[in-house]
Amino acid sequence: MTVVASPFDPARVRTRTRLGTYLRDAPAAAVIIVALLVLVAIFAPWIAPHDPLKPLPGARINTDPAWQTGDWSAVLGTDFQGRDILSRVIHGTRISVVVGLVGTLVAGSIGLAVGVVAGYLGGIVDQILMRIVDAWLAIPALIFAVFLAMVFQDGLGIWSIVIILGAVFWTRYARVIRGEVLSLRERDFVRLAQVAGAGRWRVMRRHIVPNVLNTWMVLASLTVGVVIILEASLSFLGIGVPPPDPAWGSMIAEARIGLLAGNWVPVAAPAVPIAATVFAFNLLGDWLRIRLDPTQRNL
Amino acid sequence: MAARHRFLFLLAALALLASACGSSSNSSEEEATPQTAPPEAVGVVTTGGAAQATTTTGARKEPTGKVVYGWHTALTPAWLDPQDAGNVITAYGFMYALHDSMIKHYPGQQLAPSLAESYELADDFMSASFVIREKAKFHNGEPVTADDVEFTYQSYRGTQAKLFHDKLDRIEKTDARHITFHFKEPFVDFLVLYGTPATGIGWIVPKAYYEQVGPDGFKQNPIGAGPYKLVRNTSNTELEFEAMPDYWRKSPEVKTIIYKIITDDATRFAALQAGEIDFMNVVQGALLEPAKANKDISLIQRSTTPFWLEFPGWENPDSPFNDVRVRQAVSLALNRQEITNAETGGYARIDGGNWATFDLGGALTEDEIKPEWYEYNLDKAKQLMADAGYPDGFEVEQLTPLAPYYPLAERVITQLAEIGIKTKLNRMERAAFVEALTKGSEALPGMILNISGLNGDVATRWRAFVLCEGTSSRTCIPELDAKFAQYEASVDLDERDRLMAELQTEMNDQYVFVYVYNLGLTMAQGPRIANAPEEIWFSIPQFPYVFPWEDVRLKS
Amino acid sequence: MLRYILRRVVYSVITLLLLSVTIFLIVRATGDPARTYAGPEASEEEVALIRAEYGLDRPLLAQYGSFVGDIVTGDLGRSFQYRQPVLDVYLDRLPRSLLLASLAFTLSLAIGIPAGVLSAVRSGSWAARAFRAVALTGVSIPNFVIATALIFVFSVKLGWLPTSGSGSAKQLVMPTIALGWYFAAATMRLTQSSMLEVMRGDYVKLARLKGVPERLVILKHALKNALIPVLTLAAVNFVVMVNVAVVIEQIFAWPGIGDLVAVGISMRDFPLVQGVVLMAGAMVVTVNFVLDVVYAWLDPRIRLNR
Repeated sequence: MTVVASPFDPARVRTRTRLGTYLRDAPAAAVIIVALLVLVAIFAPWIAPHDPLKPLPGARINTDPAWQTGDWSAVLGTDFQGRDILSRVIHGTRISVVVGLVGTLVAGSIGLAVGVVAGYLGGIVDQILMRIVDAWLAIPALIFAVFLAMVFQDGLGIWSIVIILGAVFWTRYARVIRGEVLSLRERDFVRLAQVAGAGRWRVMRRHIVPNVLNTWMVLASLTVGVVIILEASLSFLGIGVPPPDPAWGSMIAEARIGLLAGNWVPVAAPAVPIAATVFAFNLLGDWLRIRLDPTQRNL
Repeated sequence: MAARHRFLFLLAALALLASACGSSSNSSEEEATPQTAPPEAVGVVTTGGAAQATTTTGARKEPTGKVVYGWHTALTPAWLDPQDAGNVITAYGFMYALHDSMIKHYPGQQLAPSLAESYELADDFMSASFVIREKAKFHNGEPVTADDVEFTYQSYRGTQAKLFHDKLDRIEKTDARHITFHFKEPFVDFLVLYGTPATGIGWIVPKAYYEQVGPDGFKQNPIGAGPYKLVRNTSNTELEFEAMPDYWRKSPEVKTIIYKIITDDATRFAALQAGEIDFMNVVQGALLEPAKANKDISLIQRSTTPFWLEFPGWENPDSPFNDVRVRQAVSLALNRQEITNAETGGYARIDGGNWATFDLGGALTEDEIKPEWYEYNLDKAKQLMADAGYPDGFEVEQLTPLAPYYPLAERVITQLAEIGIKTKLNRMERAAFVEALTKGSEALPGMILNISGLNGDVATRWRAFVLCEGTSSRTCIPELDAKFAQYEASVDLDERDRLMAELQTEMNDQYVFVYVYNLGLTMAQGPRIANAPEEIWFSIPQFPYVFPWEDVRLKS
Repeated sequence: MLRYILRRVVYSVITLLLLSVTIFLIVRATGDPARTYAGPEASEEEVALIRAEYGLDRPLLAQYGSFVGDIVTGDLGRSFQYRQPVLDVYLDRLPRSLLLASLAFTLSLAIGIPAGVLSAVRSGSWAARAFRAVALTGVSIPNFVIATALIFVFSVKLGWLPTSGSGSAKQLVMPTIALGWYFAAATMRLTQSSMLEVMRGDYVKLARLKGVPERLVILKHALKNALIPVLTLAAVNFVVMVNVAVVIEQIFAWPGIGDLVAVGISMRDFPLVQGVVLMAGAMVVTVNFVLDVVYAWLDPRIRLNR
């Protein structure tokens, strides 16, 4: 029976969706980075040596890092406002985690719901939803985000950024998951459940959703990176998380000019965590993707 | 004698001296422009006379070579059309190359005749007559005539247009070169408004061509009477100008000027370092140090016009800024020394105290500035906040600065947090911001970090920024409006002086606008330019960019 | 075949209509459309003028009708920044964006395809790791950092390349790297999975059985087939690159569509940004349509399957 050999064997899939199993042989570097990110985000106020929004006393502006000045009260130096760069990077983790993970979660949840409903119900519902997905997918992500940011005229806070990112990215999930559901729908265990009298919603919830979670995880881990970088680009364009909140993207945008003067630390301080985070999620995503379904495309 | 008196005397002198060719002595003008034109910087050009001197000495040299100017803001095509001039000096950075004005400042000489060879403002301020220079030509070869001057006046739509149209009684043209504006009532400010970039109405556009292509077409392919004509506009991102060898004043030395729009500070500076651009607008922040260290780059730094904070909607009793104690607390919370240190390395002055510069006609003198207007005292500020009922401060929707002064705005936000005023930065590009200023107090709620390069005199700025009806005003104080009306009605120069001083003092005592510090501007030029930076940057009051273009020389 | 094409045409038109409905509704759902189109700072009179001009007081359906009618006739509105029709401004800048995108597109394939192939067939090798690291770096560092670093190294320190502007071939080098690099990772991913799939196919197994050398199997048999989906994605990415180089074009002062969006954002020129959104969407839908037809023509099974 070919079904057993398939990566979509329901039994096998269900055990795999447990986090522990996922992570056992995941790329160690990626897991460590993500764990660190989450920990720093949770404990930011306790780890950060200073207030991220207030200048250090003594009006020290644009100071060099401690290994050049010997002043260990500001390990990575201060920014153009005299604020401790390290503390800002640490607090910035929270914003990036919220934007990256929550943005991904919002997009993923909408996409999952639409994909499952469209794929399982089929027919006219499927047609309508998928045409909408096609239409939304046709707008490149950055341009779409810019468009939405401009339409949201009154005040862009961190949560409106999250909503924008969710609105931009849900279509990717919807299309892929719907494809997956189409093949699941024809499978024996789904048919059996239907024959046994399970209602549509129950089938979707109990039998379809758990089996598309693999794909969902792959997509999600690949999206986190894109979302974080996109938020940084929006910050650069002046429509991201507004200052003085320490978002990594706007920190880089502010310090970037100093690169030309050789002041690379204020840029590297937020750029390294961004790169590490995005790199880690990409590694995780690639690993999951190959691991779970080598033929999975378009992710 | 105080500066503003001097300036008015200069005006009076100019008004009386009919065909003013190099009218007044150099020393008085240098004093009149203490900040922007230091004595050693003046490449003394007394207009009419100098023009003859330049054109008659030796054989005329053909313009050669190319200069590239790194411009710091996105270009709005309206900036190429003086008919649509707004309250912003940036536009004139382009106009001084492309267009020419009947009267304008030259280094060492204010309100000099330019396209006009002479002019006369009647003693009763009821008329102004001009003789147009015979050699004045548009780029299409047509001579500048009285018809063009008349058309320019009548079809002008830019800032202060209403004032000019309301004041005008009739225009009298005796021949192609003689034109007189007759006013319905005394127009005491005529010269200040007509002869400086306070408005664009003195900048002459060719009637026939303008009517043929229309306002929008003109912006795409403008034709002016300036020293350079526009030969290429690549998507409003790169403009190529070519010298007009028969420009009336003198033949420009440099054949080609390219304005390259590079809005990114870092890229623009890199381009200067790499020798791709010769002039660079605005070197700031982290770039100042490497710029100073680079021997190929000449810098020029000037303390110019002041920044001020505004509180749109403060007249509303619900606004926390309705309480003068809160506004004063804002002023006291600003650590101006720290600001100038960080922004300019400390060279920009922090004791301006007023929202108008000293070199503006009618501005308060240094003696008249009260120290408390620029005092830094956190304890007192906190006390005032507590007295006003905000011991823990309050939240403000946003603070919107004029681009590109975001770092300064962020610093102000940080300092205001010390007294509990919490707010966020609202980024807005220059043109959009300037546009927003004209839309009243609703358009930009919260706080505004403003600065004006608007030329003219204090009254010009008053009309724009303070009057209830002002084009860029978000303020309405009827008592001050009444006093200003008195000023407008008066033809007694001493009375006007006194009223203007009182008006400013009241504004400052009420902290309607909170003085922040004087903008320190650093401009840079590369090694190929032969002029000393002082000759061509900040060479006339209130204008921070390169002028006069026809004097720019390349090293051979 | 004709029936298939017709069906695809209908789909594409529906997609385009939904695209316009989306934009139409988003603008109206989030506030007063007259205010949005007039700019957030417009006075009441200007807003009223816009309202009258676009007929924004009519019923939604009538408004939508003229909205679509305008778009179909090429009227994307008027940019208040440039005082020109949005379409004119767009078309003026399009050639330069096409040029930059073609080069970036080539670069993304040049990094992505070898990285993908190596990851599929020799995933543990040094070459595979190196290529994968290069590809992933491109998506991990914000491109404004990459762009500034490139300027610092190649223009300021080495003096090899001009910092910015357009007009010469040298000015294209750095924008190409900054833009193309970002898209390399996606190409790599797809190449890798596509290769893995193809390598399991019967004819590859057959080629191996026949004793064809492994290198030849990979390059000739597997890669050729694996590239079809890769090029499909690349074609769509090309269109995306034309429209999204906002940050890169601003930093390198490259006067393309991306720079236009940057100006549109900073000047709050909403018709400009909306025009780019519509054009980008239309271009993606068109490319998808062309690709569908080409594949159907190449492979008759597709026509029957759908």
